[in-house]
Amino acid sequence: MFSPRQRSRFPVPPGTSRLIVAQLAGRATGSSETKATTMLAFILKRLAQSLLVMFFVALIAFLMFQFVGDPVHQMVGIETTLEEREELRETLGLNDPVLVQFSRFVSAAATFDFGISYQHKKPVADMILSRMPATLELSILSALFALAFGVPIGAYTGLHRNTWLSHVLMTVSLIGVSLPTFLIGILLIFVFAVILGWLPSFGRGDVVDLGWWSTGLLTITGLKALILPSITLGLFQMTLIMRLVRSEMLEVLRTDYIKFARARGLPDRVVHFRHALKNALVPVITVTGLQLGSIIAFAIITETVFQWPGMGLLFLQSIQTVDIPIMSAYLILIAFIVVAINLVVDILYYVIDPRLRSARNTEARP
Amino acid sequence: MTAPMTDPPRKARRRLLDSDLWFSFSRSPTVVAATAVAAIMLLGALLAPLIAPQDPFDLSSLSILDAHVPPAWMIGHDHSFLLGSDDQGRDVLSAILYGSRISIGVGFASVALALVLGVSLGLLAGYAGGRLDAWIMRTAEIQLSFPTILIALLLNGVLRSALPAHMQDQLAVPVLILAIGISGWVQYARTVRGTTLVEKNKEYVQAARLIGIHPVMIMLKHILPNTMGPVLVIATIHLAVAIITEATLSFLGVGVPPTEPSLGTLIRIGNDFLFSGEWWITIFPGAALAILVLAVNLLGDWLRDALNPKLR
Amino acid sequence: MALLKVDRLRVEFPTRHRTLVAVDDVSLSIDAGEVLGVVGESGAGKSVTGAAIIGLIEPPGRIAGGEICFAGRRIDCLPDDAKRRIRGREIGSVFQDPLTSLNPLFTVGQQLVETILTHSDRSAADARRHALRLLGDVGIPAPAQRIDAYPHEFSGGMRQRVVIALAICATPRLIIADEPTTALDVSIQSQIIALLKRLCREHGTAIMLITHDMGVIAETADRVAVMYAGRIVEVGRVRQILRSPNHPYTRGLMESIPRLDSDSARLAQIDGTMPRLHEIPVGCAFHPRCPDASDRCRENRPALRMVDDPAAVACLLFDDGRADG
Repeated sequence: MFSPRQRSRFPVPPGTSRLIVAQLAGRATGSSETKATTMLAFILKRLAQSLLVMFFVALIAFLMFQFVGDPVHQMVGIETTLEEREELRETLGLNDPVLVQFSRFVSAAATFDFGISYQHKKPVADMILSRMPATLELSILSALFALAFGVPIGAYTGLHRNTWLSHVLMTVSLIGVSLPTFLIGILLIFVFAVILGWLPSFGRGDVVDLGWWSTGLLTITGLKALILPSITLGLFQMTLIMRLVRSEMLEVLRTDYIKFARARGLPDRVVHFRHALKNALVPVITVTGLQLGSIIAFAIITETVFQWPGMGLLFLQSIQTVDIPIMSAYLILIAFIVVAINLVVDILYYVIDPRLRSARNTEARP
Repeated sequence: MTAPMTDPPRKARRRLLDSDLWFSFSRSPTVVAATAVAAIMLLGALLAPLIAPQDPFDLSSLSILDAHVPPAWMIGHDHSFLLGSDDQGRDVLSAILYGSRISIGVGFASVALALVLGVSLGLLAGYAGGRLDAWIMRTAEIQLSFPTILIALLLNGVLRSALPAHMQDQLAVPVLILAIGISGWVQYARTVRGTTLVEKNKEYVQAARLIGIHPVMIMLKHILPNTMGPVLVIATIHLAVAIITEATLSFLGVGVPPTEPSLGTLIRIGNDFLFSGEWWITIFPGAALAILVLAVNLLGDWLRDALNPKLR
Repeated sequence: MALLKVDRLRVEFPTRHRTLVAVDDVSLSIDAGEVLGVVGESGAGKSVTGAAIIGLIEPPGRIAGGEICFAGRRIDCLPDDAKRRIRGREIGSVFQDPLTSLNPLFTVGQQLVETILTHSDRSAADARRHALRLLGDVGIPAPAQRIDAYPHEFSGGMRQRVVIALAICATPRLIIADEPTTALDVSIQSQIIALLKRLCREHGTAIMLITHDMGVIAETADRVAVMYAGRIVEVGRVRQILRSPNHPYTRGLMESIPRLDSDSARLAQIDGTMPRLHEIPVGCAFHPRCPDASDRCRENRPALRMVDDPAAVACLLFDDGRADG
């Protein structure tokens, strides 16, 4: 992937000649240029990979049209004659060679044109766009919830692995992993909506329309409506992050540099939260980023339980009615979001871990 | 998890049954309890026709007069319905026993499918290397960047709609197994490939190659046994995931049909009655599902720690 | 008076089958400015002894007996925070592997500054100046350019110099150097040893040099303690022991060092391996490998006895002055 790291293996005793010192100094400053190039190469490589993924996803989305049902059949009534159908096929370009159809499909998708829904007879892009704010607000809030609780609890259980509180938290987290998302939602509704009557059990509450974005964050009912769905959606990710932080902490605490940090007399606070936690969080960034895509996908379930008017609910309905344009558009959109997040995460990772900036092959342990 | 097991196959198997594993098993009451719970639920599912008070699929035995009976410790109960009855007069306990039959069955079948698929592709990728390896692992990478549940949902939807209408309900369960199985092969393949790459260069494999043993035999007899520890761990954890995935799809209404309900379907049906106070129709199947998955997860967790020499 | 005095130290590691004794009845002392070499095979208990002195034994290991006194003060039973204050400030440490001793996510400057600030009340700017001075002191060329580099941008030898700079941040009176040269190229080993010796001379720092390499000891140490299976089997002046080793194990060690002035074609070696902690034999731990072992070596464990002041040896051959050989 990268050229192996250049190591200065110069043994330089205290009284080395100025020449060598100058050489070494030159290398130290000169390396920043190569850094920038490897960084660029790295990003370009990831970008190419992302494009490849998007190509495959587009292919799958396109093939769904080919193999599942006949679009003409979906669009017309029973009384349409065979000639009219054939004419429609011709105008839709369905008689063109497959490659031509595919390239047309890709260029249309690239301009956010996903055709007309079979079921609703409306442009798919508009339908998805109008439902995107609901899903994104829910997903981002869930991710924040998962991080805000997952990281501190994980760090605590990693640092104090044998206290009773850690055992309780670990057991609870395992229960959290074992409860399917929809069941968590049902339980929360049962307790907080049915029994206690504190929070609403479905919908977004009042939303404020900002023109291009409808938000539930600006009204009391909107915020109240967000609580249960965000917890439902975020709980699984929270337990995941917590367990990851814990195991990374345990791993990092065993390393020599932590032992050496202790041997230098640094206070526990510094050793744990400055040194150990920072190292433990490096892989957490990747996982959290990747989980964000997962959260958006899991929103399908949460949105069903809470009748949340987002993209996931739309997608599920489209599966039940075999509304291929919506299915393929959702697939492409999710793929795009996942790929974009992956790209950002990779770059972030690169920025955070200085070892990766100069080499990826030599010291592989992240 | 990819920790290489250095010993040749037979030794590895002996180590598996060696005192260490048994020791940590008998030492942990949680694991023993989880095993017991899992075993009881498995037995209950297998023996459902023998032990269930009622056959929930036999419509003639159902009476609408028995509908909405609460559990046996509440006012208005009926002793023949220990956990109450649903809107059609179906015994909830019987429905759970029959439902877990389908949940566990689909779970095992999809794990088996994913395991066979993943292990073979992993062995192939690791042993053959080159372009085949690149293709398999690239596919795995792409699939891995999407959440499993989304892939299962999509595969299930597409496969189903590709079937003629009259076969959709009939083939719902096989289609579900196929969808969940295919969505889960990647973990197996990656782990097995990793181990294969390590084992491939060991002397005993080189020796087997030199004396002309067929590559397929080398893969099956020499490399495969070394991957069994990690694969067992993945399979256990995957079983929990598969059961959850099935329940989720059924809950969303795209899994098994309501005529043969799994635990997920039962929860979906009962969900409508949550607001009218008949909580037992959904909460009991939900609890059964949660307990089942928790028991399997506990087993998997323990297995991973016990087989991972790094954590000992 | 001795700077460090370890008296009948015993360190145990409870496992699920039995309790392992990693360090058994070890007594040693180091004077101010002195270099004490501790030599032995891996697993002999050298590193555990070092860890016990700085109060960093990995749980579930624990000090089960004896005492450790530093500068006249008992330090093994201090509260954790007081122990921490001694680490780095009074007793510095150098670890074996410079590649893994430094946190990869922080620059060497950050790691130096945080250590300096922990042990003094300098300002941040002053701490950075001190860090630069230290880097120059340990022989890092162009410290001003290197201070903001990350550990991976240094070579192994340079990293070990950084580790040493970290160890001497607060000018401790004792440095425990655990295999400081083992992970380095041979050509760099001698530079690191020279550096340690120079620092020891300039600041009057005492060093406890833990190594398995008799050559390093011969070059550096004033006195040497030989450890075997958790115990000290021989202790004395380096020259004394190099010239006339008393314990059969030490003799074996000496004979296994290649010598230029000898014309024997083969190096002598000690048969067998050191017993692991859970299979230390009764009697003298060395008796299964000892060429001079007799029946009583199988039954009685020898105590450390003075033979030729200050040299002491733990061997029944020297008990009560009756040498059987």
